[in-house]
Amino acid sequence: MHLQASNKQKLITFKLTAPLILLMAGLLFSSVSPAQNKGKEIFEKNCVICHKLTEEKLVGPGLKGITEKRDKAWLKKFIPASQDMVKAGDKLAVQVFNENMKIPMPDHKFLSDDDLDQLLTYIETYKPAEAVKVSVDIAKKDGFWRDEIVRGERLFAGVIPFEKGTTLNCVSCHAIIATDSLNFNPSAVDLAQAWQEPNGTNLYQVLREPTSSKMAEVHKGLQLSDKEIYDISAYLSKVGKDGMTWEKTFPARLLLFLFLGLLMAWALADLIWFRKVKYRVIHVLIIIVGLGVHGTLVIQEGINLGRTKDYMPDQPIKFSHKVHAGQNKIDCKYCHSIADYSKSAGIPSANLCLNCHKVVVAGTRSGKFEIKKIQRAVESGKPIEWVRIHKLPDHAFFSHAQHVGVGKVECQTCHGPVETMDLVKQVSDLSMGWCVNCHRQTGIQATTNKYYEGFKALHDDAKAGKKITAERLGGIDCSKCHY
Amino acid sequence: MGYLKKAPIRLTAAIALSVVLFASCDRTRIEKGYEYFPDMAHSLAYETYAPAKGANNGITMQTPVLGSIPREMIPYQYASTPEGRMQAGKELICKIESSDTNLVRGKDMYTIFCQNCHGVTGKGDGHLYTSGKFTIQPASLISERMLVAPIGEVYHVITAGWNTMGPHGPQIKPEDRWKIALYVKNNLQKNLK
Repeated sequence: MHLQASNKQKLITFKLTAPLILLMAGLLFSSVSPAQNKGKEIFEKNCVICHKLTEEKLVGPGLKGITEKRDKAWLKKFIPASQDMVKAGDKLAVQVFNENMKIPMPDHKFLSDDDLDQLLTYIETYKPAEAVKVSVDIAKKDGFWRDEIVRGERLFAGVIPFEKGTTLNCVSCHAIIATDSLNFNPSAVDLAQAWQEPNGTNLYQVLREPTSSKMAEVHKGLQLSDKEIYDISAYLSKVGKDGMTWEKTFPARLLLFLFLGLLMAWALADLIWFRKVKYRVIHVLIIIVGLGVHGTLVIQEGINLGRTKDYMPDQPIKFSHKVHAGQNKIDCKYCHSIADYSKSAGIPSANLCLNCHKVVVAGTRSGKFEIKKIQRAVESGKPIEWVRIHKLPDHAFFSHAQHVGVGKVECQTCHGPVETMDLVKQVSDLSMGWCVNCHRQTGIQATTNKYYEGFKALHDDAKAGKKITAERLGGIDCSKCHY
Repeated sequence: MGYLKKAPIRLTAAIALSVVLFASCDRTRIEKGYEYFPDMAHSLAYETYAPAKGANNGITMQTPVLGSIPREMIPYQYASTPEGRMQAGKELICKIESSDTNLVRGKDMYTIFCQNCHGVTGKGDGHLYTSGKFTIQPASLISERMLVAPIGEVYHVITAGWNTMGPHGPQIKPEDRWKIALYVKNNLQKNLK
């Protein structure tokens, strides 16, 4: 009896403790991932600019195995206030400081003890992301079935919802139809191209582990199944081939032209044969107005032939002059550095972009997608094919050196307020009349610009009766004889 | 028939309005419009940045052939390492005098290429850093270390870069780089107090 009772008691205790143990274990395991997330968050916010989690050195040393190499307590002192330790003469701190070209590591006093623990745990337990395991053919980038493409299109457009209910759809950010303003999110075509190129985006990985905080924020709550991603990739393969679609502009001018033509024909016919409308003034008015409008349209279109005013193409990278030249106040000539002494103002090389974008790896609005294109261009050596907007006919000679370098003309005089444009547009019509008008109206800086001193000297010498050779007037320029 | 009397006025008004409204062309922003006999409008020769079908890599602007040096270019031999910087500081001599014109040019160039990070006074508080876009504080050009650094070092850092600062040699002519260095040494560092 006694034995039985105690057994029963044990059973009861076991019954009670088992869930408790399970609960504890559950808590323990579940607590690993939030802590890691917190650590990851801290790392990505504060450390990632200077440190890598591999052995590779960036600005500061690579952090692989740092928790074994250094004492944890020391690290917890070093991270918040490294410079204080160096100043206090901590041997190890001074050594680290010297090893890293004496670049001071910024203080992180705002990190609590707990934050530091979690950060160190994250660094300690960090493993490079393994390729995700998925149930579908991940390498397939072409040759999908039609129903897969159609289903993908519907998912993309939000016509059918995702299995794990979220109200998000792809198309409201990743546009398929081009608009007149710059959409900083990668368009569907951009996504398709990035996915299709060799070693391109792994959609399965990226959709599970967002690459930038911007993307993580927008994609929050998005849990796509493998099949759904597969279908979307099927659709992307189609989009990649089709390219961006454009909404046709309403041909208002053409319709106006045709309508007035018909109206005039009717008026003429009515005037001569039908005589339905009594008052002839109506016919005359219609014909006068019609001819006027027709003339205006023909003249306007005729003038615009061969001119590309208002041309505003999409560029291979969503580079915004508004952000760079406007908000960041970067001088035009920082990037277009040869405008002073060259015919062309110069398109900056991808390496030049890296002057800043080595550090600035994510845009405020575009995330990492656009900036990565620079890195890819640098690595592959393939030039970024910017679309040329301003182009004078070949029979006209224009040199930036004369205008910017010598004449000190502001860039905006011809190119318009580029620092306010996300997408650059041709503001001036670049016609001959436009050039000539400016040359007629613009005064030279005769007193402040030293270039014009030569003219003044000539003038003075002529007045003083000194000898002036033809050479001084440009008489032995090559083009005087060889044309 | 009464309404017909008023019709022409309305019609004229409507037409006039629509002409004003639709004064732009019927084309989207990516269309360039039409051309009419573009005689000599398009260059037969490759233009500066145009793709070159003839070249192997399809680029017009080719880099110099391996082992050759373009005219007027002086190869730069110091690496962007602490040793390279030390050596450059010792060996490079500024051959440009610190005249007013040169310093003014130096200031202009500093404004374009340096000020946005290093700040107007050179303290390292340029707009890119203070606005939070660039997260690493740029070096101060008026620190104790920079005050004693020879001018060759300033030139070297501009040319080859240092740490997170990229090389600015390709962007700025050597002469202008010296003028910036002169401006840093003669104006920024002397106007302290």
